[in-house]
Amino acid sequence: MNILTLLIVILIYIGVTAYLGYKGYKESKNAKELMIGDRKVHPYVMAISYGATFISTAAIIGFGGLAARYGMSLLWLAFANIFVGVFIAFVFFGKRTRQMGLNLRAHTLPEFLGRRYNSKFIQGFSGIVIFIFMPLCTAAVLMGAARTMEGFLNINFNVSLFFFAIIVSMYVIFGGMKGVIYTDAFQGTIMIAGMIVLFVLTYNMLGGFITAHKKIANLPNVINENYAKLENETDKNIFYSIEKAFISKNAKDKPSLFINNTEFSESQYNDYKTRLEKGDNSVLDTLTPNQIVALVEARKDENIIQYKIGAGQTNITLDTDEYTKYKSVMLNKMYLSDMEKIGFQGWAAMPKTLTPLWFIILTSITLGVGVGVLSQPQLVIRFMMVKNNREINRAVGIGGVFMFLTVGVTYIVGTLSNSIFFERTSLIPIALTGGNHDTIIPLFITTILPKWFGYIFMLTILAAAMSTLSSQVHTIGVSVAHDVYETCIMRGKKSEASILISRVGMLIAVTVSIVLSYFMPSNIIATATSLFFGLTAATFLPSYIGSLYFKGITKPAVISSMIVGSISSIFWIVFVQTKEATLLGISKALFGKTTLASGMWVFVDSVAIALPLSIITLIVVSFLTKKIDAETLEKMFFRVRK
Amino acid sequence: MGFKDIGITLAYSLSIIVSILCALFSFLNWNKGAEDTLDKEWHEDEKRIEEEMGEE
Repeated sequence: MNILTLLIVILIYIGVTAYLGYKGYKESKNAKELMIGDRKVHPYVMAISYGATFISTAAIIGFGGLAARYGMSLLWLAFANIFVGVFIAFVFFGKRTRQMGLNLRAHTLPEFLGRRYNSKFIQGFSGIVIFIFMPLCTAAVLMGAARTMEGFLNINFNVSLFFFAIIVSMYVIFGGMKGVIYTDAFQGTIMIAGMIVLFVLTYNMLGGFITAHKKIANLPNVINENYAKLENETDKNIFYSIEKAFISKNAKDKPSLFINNTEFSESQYNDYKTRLEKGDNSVLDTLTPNQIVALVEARKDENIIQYKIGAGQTNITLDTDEYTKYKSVMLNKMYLSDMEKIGFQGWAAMPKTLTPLWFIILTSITLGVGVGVLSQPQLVIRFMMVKNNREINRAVGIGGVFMFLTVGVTYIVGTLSNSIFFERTSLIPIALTGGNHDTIIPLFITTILPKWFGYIFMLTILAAAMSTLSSQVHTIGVSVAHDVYETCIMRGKKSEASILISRVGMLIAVTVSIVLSYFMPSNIIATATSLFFGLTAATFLPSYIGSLYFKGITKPAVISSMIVGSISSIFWIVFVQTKEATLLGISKALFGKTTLASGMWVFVDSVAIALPLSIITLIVVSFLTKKIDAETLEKMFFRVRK
Repeated sequence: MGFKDIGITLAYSLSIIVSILCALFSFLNWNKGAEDTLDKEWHEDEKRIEEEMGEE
């Protein structure tokens, strides 16, 4: 990839983004406009801003990588994203939210809930939940963007992260909500263009629509057949010794590489080779004269490389072709078998019912993210930005198509990348990346697709990350400044420095996200997103739906539901859900066990437990406590469609 | 579609169908809901809130 061309393209992109941020700054006259704009946003801008905020690098890089690993069952999430995240959200929630939000003079989701139930506690508690947990999501988005820049531009991860955060914070802090939605619309348009090209190129490479689907459906059979064929052709002792060498976690058991009797480890050789190819001759300083000669020889003729496996009783020597053949067949089989153990049945098949993978796909991913979107504070606020219901009606179609072109295409392409990588490298991508699915999509773009598309895709990823990040930073900043500081700490007393407080809040949000990004594990992009979506669904969704549709919901019921939802969700994530509990390590530190539960429970997502608990609490407490008086309700529900 | 699994065929088809339905919904309701649903009091209140929040 030509770095200079890429830098020029990125500079133009940043220039346009900066201009739109400046336009937002000029048009934001007061704190209200900084928080919510002027409520006259065009439906295209609103729909694309909603979609671009929703779809981040986590969706493209993280969930695209998950689709490459687990296949097209992730399309149920795409369906949920479109049907629930757009159609239900806009038609059944959006219109009511807009009207009621205006009736309540609300500017944020916490303020909406707080005023609906006349409770500063609800507003403050909601603001605190957003301030504490949304940075997890923001940090994941930042990491995704920084990893992409690192991969494409060869810029150090820490530098990329810092650079990226500075650009976004500039236009969010000064441009406010208008800066956010203008840039979102620009970035969303780039995402549409990038994903359409990606969709066409991918199907084209596999020989068309039906052929591509047949190939991916048949891939597990091909992997199993190749394995069985090689097993039959090879002496059993040798076959299993080679297999052991590939799957062993002990570095001493790994195959060694020899060039003219000079030994390298495989990773050492690959590292030297890559650095020399990039022109980094400093590597020569670390090598012995024999190793330098060997490397020079190997660059002339790779056939002189030999791989030796095992020591003592079994000592096997393989040339490069044999080694590559064994490696690809065995690694593909190993990863396939590992996935089959948790319920995987193929990239074009649903997981086996009630297996760990089935729970992950349906509860963590589809339910957590698919339903969780309804109560995302940064998305809910977009309904309050448009002038009337006509704009929401118009935005539904734009949002639905946008969502298919982004998430739908990502999951389809992620899955199909298996066939393409397999045809070109004999390895499936999860084997090629050593089990790290977050690197599959960037690898697909840089090694498989044409170079010119790399530039477009780089912008697509930057746009996806920036649009999500800006809205999240804006939401955290406004929550901490408006909902927590002004409403709870200052007891609703308006400050002359309101606009400054909001900007300081956004600056705090960016700082917290940067700090978190440095400490979070690298394979956490998709996990952090579904974790936050699950938590907000359990905390806000029942109360939010109740506020829009049920007049009998009471203030104590909402407070109880939010507390039960958030605490049960956090408990489940920290002490039960294996993957998350292991990543966090709190359960291990306190009780010496990564999870306190056993069996299938450890694979069930927090949302499947915490959301029902939150709903039950809301209903039961509402029946037991005093209802809001009819006159107040009448004002709140004024012209809210029945 | 080339898939053997009905679950995948359904997920793929429904993703496309629901996107088309969204577009159709917009087309059929393109000019509906244009009326101002807010009363005079609201507009006065909104103006007051803007003033309270302070001009920069």
